[in-house]
Amino acid sequence: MMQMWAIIVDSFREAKAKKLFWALLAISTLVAAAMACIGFDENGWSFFFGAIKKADPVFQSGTDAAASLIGAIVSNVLVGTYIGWVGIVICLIGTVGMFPSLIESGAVDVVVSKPLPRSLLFFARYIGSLAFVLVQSAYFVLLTLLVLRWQVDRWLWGYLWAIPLLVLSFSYIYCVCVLAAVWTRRTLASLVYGLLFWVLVFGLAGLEGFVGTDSKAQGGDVVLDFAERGSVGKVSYVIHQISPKPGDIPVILGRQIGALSSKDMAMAITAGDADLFSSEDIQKLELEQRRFDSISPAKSIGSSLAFEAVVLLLACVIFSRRDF
Amino acid sequence: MVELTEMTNWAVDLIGVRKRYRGGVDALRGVNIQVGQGEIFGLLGPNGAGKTTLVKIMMTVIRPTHALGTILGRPIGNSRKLARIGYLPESHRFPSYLTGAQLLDYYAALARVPRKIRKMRSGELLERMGMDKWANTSISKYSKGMMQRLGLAQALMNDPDLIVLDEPTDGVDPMGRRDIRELLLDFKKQGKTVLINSHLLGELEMVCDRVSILVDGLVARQGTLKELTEQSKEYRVMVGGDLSSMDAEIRGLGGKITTGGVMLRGHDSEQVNALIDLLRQNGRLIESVEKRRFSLEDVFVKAMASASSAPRESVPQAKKVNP
Repeated sequence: MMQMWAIIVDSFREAKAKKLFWALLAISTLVAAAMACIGFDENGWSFFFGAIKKADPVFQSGTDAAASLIGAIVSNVLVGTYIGWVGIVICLIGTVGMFPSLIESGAVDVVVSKPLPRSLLFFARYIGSLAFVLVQSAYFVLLTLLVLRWQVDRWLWGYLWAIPLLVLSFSYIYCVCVLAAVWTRRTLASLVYGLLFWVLVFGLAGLEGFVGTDSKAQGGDVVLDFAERGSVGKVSYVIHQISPKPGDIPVILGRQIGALSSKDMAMAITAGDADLFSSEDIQKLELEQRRFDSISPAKSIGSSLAFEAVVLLLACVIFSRRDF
Repeated sequence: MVELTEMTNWAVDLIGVRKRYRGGVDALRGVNIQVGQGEIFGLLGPNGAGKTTLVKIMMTVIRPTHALGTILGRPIGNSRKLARIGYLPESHRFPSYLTGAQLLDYYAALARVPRKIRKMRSGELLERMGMDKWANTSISKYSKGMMQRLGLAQALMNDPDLIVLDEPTDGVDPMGRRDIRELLLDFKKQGKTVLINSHLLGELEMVCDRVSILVDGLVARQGTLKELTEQSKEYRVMVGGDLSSMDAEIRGLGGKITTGGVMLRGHDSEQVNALIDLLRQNGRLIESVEKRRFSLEDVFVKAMASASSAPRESVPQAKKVNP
């Protein structure tokens, strides 16, 4: 335990020593400040700390509707875009060098000659690297939780789930970077492989959405069962099942917050003016909602973690058997 | 493959260590090395001889293709015994974001040294290395010599029984080298075993009890400094006049005619006297007799020369000696 703790602390020290660590905290603070510009009062919307006001009969301070709308914006925009994309890329850049720096010639000799199994060294380093992301996401989520409390006049405790979910989401990609790092011993190669894998995962998710839907079905698009699919659809289904699913994280978080559905959010943002949407648009939003509803958190996280475990085991075997 | 051999009193007992890298490069071709407990042992050899590979195998940094033997009584690669070994690698790179004190604490924690002892020992060692003023300074500001002294301190944090040092005086100024030599002799007094890998022969000569010369992945010479240099002593008998008419007789006594005299290599004084008698019987005037003992550097160069002239498979292996 003493050894594991020492490695975790050292990994965190290494992360903290990077300017990127502090830069990301600063960016998170700015995003939270920008978010605080939008709020509700007893009459409706409030922008720029009350400088601009817009009356709204539904979305008012302290109402369930306002909380649900903010929850949807948080899960889709903040988590799905800012942390889910921008934050993860910055965190990858910040942590991707941690394994190459561990195994660089001259540095690795001292640590692997200590009386600890290489597997322990590997996993402790991995956990230590995730500490970087844990601190970043905890800071951002706690800061924005305060902003949300101020905006909707209630605590959205479900939003705290964003902390572990974001670390999970990051780890799905980071494990591939680690595998590339122990294989190539190069930081840049590790980052490139990680980003390519990330793009591939979202590409596969997009393909699954395309081939797994029957757009010619009566009554609108329907999600096809495995038995109803063609051969490409079946292969896509299997690959999707075993690959990590970072795209599911905002949906899972949205449920924890009690966010509005995509359709309801669209309607809410356009002030209930259904004429702005064609029936086709509505059908698409409903299909998307059905797809989101079909996501099982246990299955999504479980299969993603299984993938991560396999990749990490492979990386650990390479690390443990390698000559340095 | 690592196998357990019978228990010995050797601190290090390596038998038939081989390492073949990918691509078929043989770094070690069956190395036998024994280091007695409490002795300072030097590992010599030219670049590419396999010294660092051997040290890395001992420290589990590299996996051997084949190795028998023990380190501190346990099979090579035994993780638990690493807690009793201190290691300073060659060209080490320490994390630049740590201070000297943090670095010692970190590596000692990895060596399972309890927190209280870590704190106490890091202070002592930093003071001993003359680094106490720099304890809380980031090591990114350290000079190469300071890094080396810090590296030595980290190798001692677990109060090891065996200390393995790969080029310990690399980048250290003369005063620092003297301090390190004194430190090594102190270890010896404390009964600790030290294995030093260095190319600075003069440094080794001053502190080592025994040395092993590695050439081309094999042990070319191994023994105490006295044994190695005694074998290499020579007498030079300076004689006036031409000696070519006595060539056969001189060769019969093991001598060799050189410019201005005769050289007897590796022989005792009786043979020198026999040679002098022979020369005098033939009316030669002895001008001087000079006894010359070879330095470790001479032994090293000779070992290199004989290894390079010998066929690759027939490089001699040193005999096993008792501790």
